[in-house]
Formats: sequence, C-alpha cells, structure tokens
Amino acid sequence: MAEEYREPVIRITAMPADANAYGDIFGGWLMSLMDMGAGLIAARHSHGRAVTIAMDGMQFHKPVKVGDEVSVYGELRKVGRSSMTIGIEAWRRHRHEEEQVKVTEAVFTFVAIDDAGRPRAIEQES
Amino acid sequence: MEFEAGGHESGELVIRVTAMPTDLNPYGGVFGGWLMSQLALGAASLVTRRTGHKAVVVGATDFTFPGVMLVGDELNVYASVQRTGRTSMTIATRGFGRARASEHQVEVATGLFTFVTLDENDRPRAIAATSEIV
Repeated sequence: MAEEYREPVIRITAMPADANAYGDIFGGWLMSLMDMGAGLIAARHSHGRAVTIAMDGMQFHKPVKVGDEVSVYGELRKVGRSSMTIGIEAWRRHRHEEEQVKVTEAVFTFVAIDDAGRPRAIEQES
Repeated sequence: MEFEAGGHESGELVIRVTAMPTDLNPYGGVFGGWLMSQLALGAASLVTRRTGHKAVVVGATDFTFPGVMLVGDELNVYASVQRTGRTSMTIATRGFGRARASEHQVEVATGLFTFVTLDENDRPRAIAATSEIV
C-alpha cells in the first residue's frame, strides 16, 4: 500500500451483537460508530462538548461481516464560528488478511455547545 | 404535537422504545448515533414488510437533529415510503421524543434511507409492482 499512514479514530471488531437480522453487520451500527468517531474529533478540536446536528452523503459501498476489524478515519474539513464539518470513512479488514477496503463514508456537522446547551464559539487557529 | 395511534402525518409508527443509560453520549444526552441506528431499524422494518424481501441500506442522507432527548424519554420512529425504484426503496424517517410524564412530542431526528432488496444470493432483486406498495 503506497497510501500515507492515517491514524484511526476508532478501531474495533464487529461482533454478533452488531449484526442485522440477516447476519451481516447492521448499517445503523456503522452509522453510530462513525458518529462516535466524528464526535471525538469535534470534542478534541473544540476543547469541549459538541453534538451532532446533521449528517449527509452516507453511502454503503460494501457489506461488513461479523469478525471484521472496522477502522474509522476522519478529518476536519471546515470550522465555522461554532460549527465543524467532519468527513468520516469506515474501512473493513478481514481478521485473517491485510487488505483494507472502504465500506462507507459520510459528512457530519457538529456544533460546540456550552453547559447550558447553547452554541459556543470555537477558538480559531491562525 | 399529539397524534392518534396509526394516524401520524409522518407515516407509520415503526419503533417505540425508551432511551436507556446505555444509549447516552459522554455528556449524558441521548447519543445521535443511537437515534440514527433506531431510524435505520425502523426504516428497514418498513421496507421488508412492504416488499417481503431482505433489504440492506445503501445510502443515508439529509439527517438533521433538531431537538434533544433525555434518558428515560420515549422515542417514536415514524417511517413512510418516499420512492420505489426497480430494486430500491427510499424511506423518510422521523423520530420524536416524549418525556415519560408528558404527552408532548418533540422532533429529535430526521433522515432519508435508501435500501436495495436482495435475493437469496445477495443480488439486487426487482420489487414487485403491487398495489400494496404505497
């Protein structure tokens, strides 16, 4: 792989409890994992509480199977006064193999909020 | 907003469940990812019921989270068929929270799901054009 090394925000094994009624991994579980990953990036960047206000463009390219290792990668794409746009990808790797395949991607929007739940300004990097 | 059972403008009630402590985010609010996964479960149930086939999510778009929900609140998910293609179906979902001791429902999550129906070999299969599909 000539690809640049990226640090995953989450790396986890898909378990039977994460499967749908047909035995493959449930799309909703992947969505929730991606939201968790985006939430980590948002909290880390804004140094505080941040919540999801929107998600768009999620496409599921390939199925994930029980036992696969799932890695979530994310990047901060845009920072507004109190909002953050975060691109998230999920990749699967069969537990016996080295090859990783992208299974889904989406764009999340988070808002940094204060203790009262009101939007707060994010410190801007120069 | 108050609705009669089975008479909701947003479609059919596909899920009614209480948000529990395991469904929270690190800040103690209901986790957005849990809401998304409940909407996905509800949408999938409607597709399977309408088409009679196995169906998997291939897309999820236009998600918004307009309100907040607390632990112990009841989540109500409503789903309706927005579009039926040859092998795909698009479902509009809306989630409303209701505090345990209240009759008032607040919209907490909305989104669109696209499903593809599959045959026994996991290949896309055509959705029968029956009048049942609305």
